[in-house]
Amino acid sequence: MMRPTRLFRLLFPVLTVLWMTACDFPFSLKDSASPKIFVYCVPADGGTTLQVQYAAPAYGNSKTVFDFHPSVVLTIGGIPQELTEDPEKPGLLHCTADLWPGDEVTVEASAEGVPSAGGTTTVPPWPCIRDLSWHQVQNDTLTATRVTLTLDQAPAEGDYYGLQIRTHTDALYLEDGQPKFESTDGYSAPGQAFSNQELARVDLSDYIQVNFADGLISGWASREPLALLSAEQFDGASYSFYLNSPDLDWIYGFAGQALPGEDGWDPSQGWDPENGWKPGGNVPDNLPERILLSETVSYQLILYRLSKEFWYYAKAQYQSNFDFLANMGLIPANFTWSNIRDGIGMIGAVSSIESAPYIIETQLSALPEHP
Amino acid sequence: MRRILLPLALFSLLYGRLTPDAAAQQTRVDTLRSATVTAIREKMRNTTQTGLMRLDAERLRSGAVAFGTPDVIKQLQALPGVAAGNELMSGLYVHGGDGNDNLFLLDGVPLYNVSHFGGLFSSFNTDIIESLDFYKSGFPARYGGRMSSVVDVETREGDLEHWHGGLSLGLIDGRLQLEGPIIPGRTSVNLALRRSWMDVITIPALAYANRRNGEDETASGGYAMSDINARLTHHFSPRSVLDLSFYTGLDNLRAGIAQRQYEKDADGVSHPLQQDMQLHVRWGSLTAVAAFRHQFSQKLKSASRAYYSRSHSDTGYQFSFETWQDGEQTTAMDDRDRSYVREAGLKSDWDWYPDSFNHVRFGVSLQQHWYGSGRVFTYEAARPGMAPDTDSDDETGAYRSFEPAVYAEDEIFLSYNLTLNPGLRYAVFVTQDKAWHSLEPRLSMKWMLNRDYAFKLSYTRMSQFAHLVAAMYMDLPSNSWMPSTAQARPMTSGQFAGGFYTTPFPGVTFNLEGWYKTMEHLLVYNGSNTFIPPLTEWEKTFTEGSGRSWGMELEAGWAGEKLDVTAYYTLSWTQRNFEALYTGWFPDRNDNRHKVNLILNWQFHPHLSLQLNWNWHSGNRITFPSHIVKENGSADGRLVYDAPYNTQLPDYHRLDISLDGRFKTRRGRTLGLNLSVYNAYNHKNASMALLTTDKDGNYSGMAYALVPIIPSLSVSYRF
Repeated sequence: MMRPTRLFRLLFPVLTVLWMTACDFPFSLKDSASPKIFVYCVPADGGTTLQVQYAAPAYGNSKTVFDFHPSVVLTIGGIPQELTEDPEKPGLLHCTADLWPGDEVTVEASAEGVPSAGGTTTVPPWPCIRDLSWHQVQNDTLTATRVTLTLDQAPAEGDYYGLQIRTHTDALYLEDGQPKFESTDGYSAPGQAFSNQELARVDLSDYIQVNFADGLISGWASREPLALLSAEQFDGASYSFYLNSPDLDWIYGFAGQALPGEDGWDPSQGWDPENGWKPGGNVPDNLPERILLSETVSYQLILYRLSKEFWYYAKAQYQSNFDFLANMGLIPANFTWSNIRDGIGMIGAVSSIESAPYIIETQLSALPEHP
Repeated sequence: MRRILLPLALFSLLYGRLTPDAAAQQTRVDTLRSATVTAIREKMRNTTQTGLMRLDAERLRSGAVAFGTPDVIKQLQALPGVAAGNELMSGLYVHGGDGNDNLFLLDGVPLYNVSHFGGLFSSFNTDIIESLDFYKSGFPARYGGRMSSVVDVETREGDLEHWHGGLSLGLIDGRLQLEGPIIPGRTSVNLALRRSWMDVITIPALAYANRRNGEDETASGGYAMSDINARLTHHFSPRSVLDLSFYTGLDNLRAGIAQRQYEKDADGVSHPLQQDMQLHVRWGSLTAVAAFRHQFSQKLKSASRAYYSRSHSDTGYQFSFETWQDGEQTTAMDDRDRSYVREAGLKSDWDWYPDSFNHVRFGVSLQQHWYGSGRVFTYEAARPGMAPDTDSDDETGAYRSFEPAVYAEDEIFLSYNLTLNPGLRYAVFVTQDKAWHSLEPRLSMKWMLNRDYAFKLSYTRMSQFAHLVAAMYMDLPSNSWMPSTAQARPMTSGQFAGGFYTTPFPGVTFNLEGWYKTMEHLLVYNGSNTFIPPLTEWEKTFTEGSGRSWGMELEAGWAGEKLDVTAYYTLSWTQRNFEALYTGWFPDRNDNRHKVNLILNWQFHPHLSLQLNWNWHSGNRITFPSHIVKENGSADGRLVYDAPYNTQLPDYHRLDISLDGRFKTRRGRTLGLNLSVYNAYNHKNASMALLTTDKDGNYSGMAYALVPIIPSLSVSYRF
């Protein structure tokens, strides 16, 4: 009979090997997904954006993209509309037909080899701003503009809004001893955070921002941030925010950029509009010989009233920034929203209103001393 | 209503009496003691309820166990109609339920937190359990408050004549059980203790590691869980019995690291740089109940309880950092999250046998709930030449709710063949000036074709006023219970079930049961990516939807003199519909289409028995990108998702082997030895998965198996 100690000696390496081998392993993903049509359509009173693309299964044998020529029909109130293709972006279509609240917009797309897909949305009512106030606030180190927006009535449950701040900047520089005028257009992020530190502490559920560039939604709000608001974020009919809030890309550093003050040049540390260069400022060696003399920034608020479909889809796109945990099966998957029948994507209307410009001028009294 | 119900309950509690009676011999599900497998199966056939399974003490203690510790929840996970969720955890997803919708009763007291160490062990110590009734459908009207299942655990009364007990030592815990008379024939006590002893290993291991690291790095940590169950029983007379039961379970996890380095300033002076991180998590449960049972007559008896139940968790994280690189700089952060749920209640249940054809049960309960959560956060940073940076946050949320309920049911023996059990339960849940009313009809029917063949049908509606606020699919201490509020409606379910139950030959059992269940006002977390969801105004981060599940369960068994074989098969569908997540129905993550369990018990020697338990089920579901959208003319594409939970993980299967030995010592004591092997052929079962790409850019799945073969040994000594 084998002695227990000897049996243990024999079994121990076997058990150890078995234990060590229990780790990761590849598994085949079933080729159950079939090709579908991807539809993205945002009917808006300023022009409708429409994208129809071929969605190939991500795995399996059928992911070869063939020449895709879909037949697309967009109707408003049952009447087909003319579509023109964006010359710079193949597949991006525009419709310039007027839209009115309550209009029902339908898109139907069909192509060879894929099931026909389509969906419907209804244009929401125009948003109505009763009052808009802008004022400066300041803490120890930073100055910011606080904006309070008041609607004509308090939003009800199921009312959704979007907020964008469009900027136009005219700046006068002294560059290599010569004055230089520069004019730029862009967007700033409206949000609840005053600084990056504050942003790290806000509840991200109340701070949804997506990129809404060229009428296309994508997850990170790095280009044209659109803040998403539901009735819960409003205090009665009012909503207050900072004009130049840090956008969400900073919070996890997912955008691949360094946080201000870590290893890059942080303008708020090195330059103070009133006092010139700060002694403790972190100025990189390769800073161009360029000094700002004056600056005029014009801010314009765009308030969107969102359809339910747009809200769900935009929120899902935002959540997809965090999809890795759901992919692992650890948290609920809340980023798959679609209302395209037999396809993937979204048709969701918006209506919008723009405010008058709010202008902040910065005139420097004297040339700053360069360190 | 309060004025009527409260005195009624107090009266029942103070003046109720109880004794056993002849009528109790009728078909009932709440008095059976230890019985053989065959007898239990026959009893299951004879009950009016569908979906009822009874596990006796012997079965709960036997079988393969992980880490040498028998576990109640894991026994239930093996049953048909139940999905287990994450491997080795205490998930219990019954008939498409969500895992937080099971009513766990310990001696009639609701238990909110039923697991230790993230679900690795359940809170039920099998040493003291008398029996367990598990309802998956056909819920009698006396149960309420949860949607998907009822797990009614009864502890064992202590021996009235002799002192005896047992000692057990498993791979990671030890158990002690002791019972005996305090006043022989009248008063007894049964006490069970359980404690993990992992810290016995970790403390010296960390001390050794710290000694090697020197003063520069000190690690600390440990985990311990403990349970205490106690039951004191006093027989005033054969008709009157008083039970005092107590349970407390506590988990304590702590981990920390302190680091010290030296750096020189501009003058060459050396300064220490110190960093300290500490994490502690404490969570647990407590229940206490006084139950008085009294038999008034042959036709009337009552059981009245006054109880208290509490579940709490406390998570803290402290961080401090100190450096002198550019002058003295300090940073300190303290983050604490706490949550609790408390419940105090009075219950009175009555059994009345007006004639030999009716068994009427009725009762009333009054429950007061306290739900609370809070977060205290402080942050301080000081740097030379700068104003101190401070921040603090103190959020608390507290709810108080009141829940009276009444019920009545009648088991009507219409004929030898036909038994009906109609019932009705009415509950009101009052919180935040909002009252939610729930009227819940229950109906069960049994039709005996002959002595060995029975058909059963049932319909039940259930409501649930408590919601588990969790951001992750894991049993974390940071999960907390919150009540239905004006914004978060109570969850409800309706379930039809029916089946065919037979014992065609002696020892042979064949049961076939089907169900269709709908669930409304389900909540799922839809907030940002975090371990701890917001606890104040928590409803904001949850979205409401519905669910449905249908399927069939098959149980076939044969019990011989020394060999017992049981096979379970489940075919089921589980779906969800959340407008905010997807338009239309989508599969649930636990939508396991097929599930098979084969159990073999073989008493091959007077002292030795072998159990083989083979589990197989379709893989759990996860959400992977399903399609690539490529713009015309673009080589790059972006991944999109066509639906939630669109991908199935590989099938799950494992074999557990258990060898049980029981030997009599010369003094007549019993020495037990259990050798178990969990996942005996070391199958890699996917616990989670990621989407990966190969060098050609093709996508494939990469699964991660976390639970390999686990051999374990436990020793027990009964005296």
